[in-house]
Amino acid sequence: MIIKGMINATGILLFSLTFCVAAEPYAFITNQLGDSVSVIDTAQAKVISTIPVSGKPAGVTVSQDGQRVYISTPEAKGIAVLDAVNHKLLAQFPVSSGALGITVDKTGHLIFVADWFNNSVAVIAADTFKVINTLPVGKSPSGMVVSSDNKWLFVANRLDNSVSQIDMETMRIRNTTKVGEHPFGLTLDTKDERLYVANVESDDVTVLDAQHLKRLQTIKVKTLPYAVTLALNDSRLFVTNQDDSSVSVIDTQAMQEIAVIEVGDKPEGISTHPNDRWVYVANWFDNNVSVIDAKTLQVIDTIEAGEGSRAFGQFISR
Amino acid sequence: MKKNIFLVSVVFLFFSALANAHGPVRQKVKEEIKINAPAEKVWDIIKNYDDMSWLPAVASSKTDKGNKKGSVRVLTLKDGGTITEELKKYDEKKMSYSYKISDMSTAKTINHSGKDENVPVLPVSNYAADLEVKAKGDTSVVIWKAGYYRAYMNNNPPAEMNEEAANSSVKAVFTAGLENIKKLAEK
Repeated sequence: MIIKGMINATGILLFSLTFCVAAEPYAFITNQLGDSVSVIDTAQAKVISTIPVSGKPAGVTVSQDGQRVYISTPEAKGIAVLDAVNHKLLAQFPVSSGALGITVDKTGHLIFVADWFNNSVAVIAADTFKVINTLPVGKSPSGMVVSSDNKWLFVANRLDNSVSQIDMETMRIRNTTKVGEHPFGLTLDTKDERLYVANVESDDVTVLDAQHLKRLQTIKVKTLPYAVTLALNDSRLFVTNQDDSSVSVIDTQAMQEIAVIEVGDKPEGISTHPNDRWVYVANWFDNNVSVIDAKTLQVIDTIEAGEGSRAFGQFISR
Repeated sequence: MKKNIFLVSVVFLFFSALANAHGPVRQKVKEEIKINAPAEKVWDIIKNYDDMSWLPAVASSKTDKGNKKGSVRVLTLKDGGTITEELKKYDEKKMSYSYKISDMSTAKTINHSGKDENVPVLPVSNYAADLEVKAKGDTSVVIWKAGYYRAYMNNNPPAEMNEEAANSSVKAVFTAGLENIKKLAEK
């Protein structure tokens, strides 16, 4: 009886430990020059594991259930699949010659890989790792995002200065609209109403009505805006300015820049913690990650990562 | 015949697309040097964007707008080559400035995979650099860093235009420049 009780207690203890570990949001930082992925435990604010990934890992996305991380490996012309809980490399395979932008649908069944060179998006089945469709898009597709209702895939066509909206049921382009020069990273608000696109060459952010791709506003930021993320209930947009070692903060109501936060050198990837308050920025030149508190607009942590930390995509598990 | 023309244009498109996009991986170099002289004295040596006489390889330099953002500087090297750079940022308070290479002359032409390739005087492309002086009490540190791609943007680069060539060339320039700044400042 006592033994049984102990086993039960141990079982519960083990269960809760496992549960705790699995529930911890991790940030997965691709280190492009270091051929690795740094796993940051956001609660401890430090790297708890470094996973070797060959092929110059660049793009990253985490499945909605927090089980898998998909990494684009441009030099290996494909992607790598990581176990997001146990921090292990599960598979690596070729997709197409210019694989860079990467995202996953909300069900976790489909992986999308943008090919900047073939002007297409590969659709990969997450269970078989087979390419099941190739969607022609604009020139040099880069950042991608899937709407939370899982109906639309948005793609920034860098060399076409446009964004395309793809109907995920028919897998066809429904609409394409012009934005600023060289759109790269983009993000969508939680209601699927607004799409924010960072335009690298025109130093601004285009705000689009996500349903009809109507241009709502163009907001000036600093030099070479690269990627974007939202925080505090979609009220603030954070933009990495690659050539300004800074992050622009935009009030999404007023649709203007309200602050500029100094971070490390050549900030690239940016993602928001599930607490909707901490914003993580990968600084490519400095090999580290700045953590911004969206409320106080202060950098609250700087975490060392690997060589050429890039993390282009949604890199935090929820 | 028609098919051949189609094939040729596809192959051509293939190469022009590659030339425009960044297939290769961006590289970086960061070098710094400690100098036994106050930061102001060191900054005085390098602060004028139109004067790069502190870099041993440079014979002369001139700009169109001095230290103003957007100022274009043409460096004439001792071996006759030229490098054109645009000033992107200038911060007197932080004692730093950033610039980008917009044009370079050809150092030599090589034949690679049946094609003539122009090797630029610095074998890089899309090169952006920052130069900064930091005060450390009575002494200072000069930090020079750059991000760039190799000169050859297609696959399978020749040795003269690969990552190793780019990295070693940039490192050599930085080391020579920093050592000379130190020499001038500690005089």
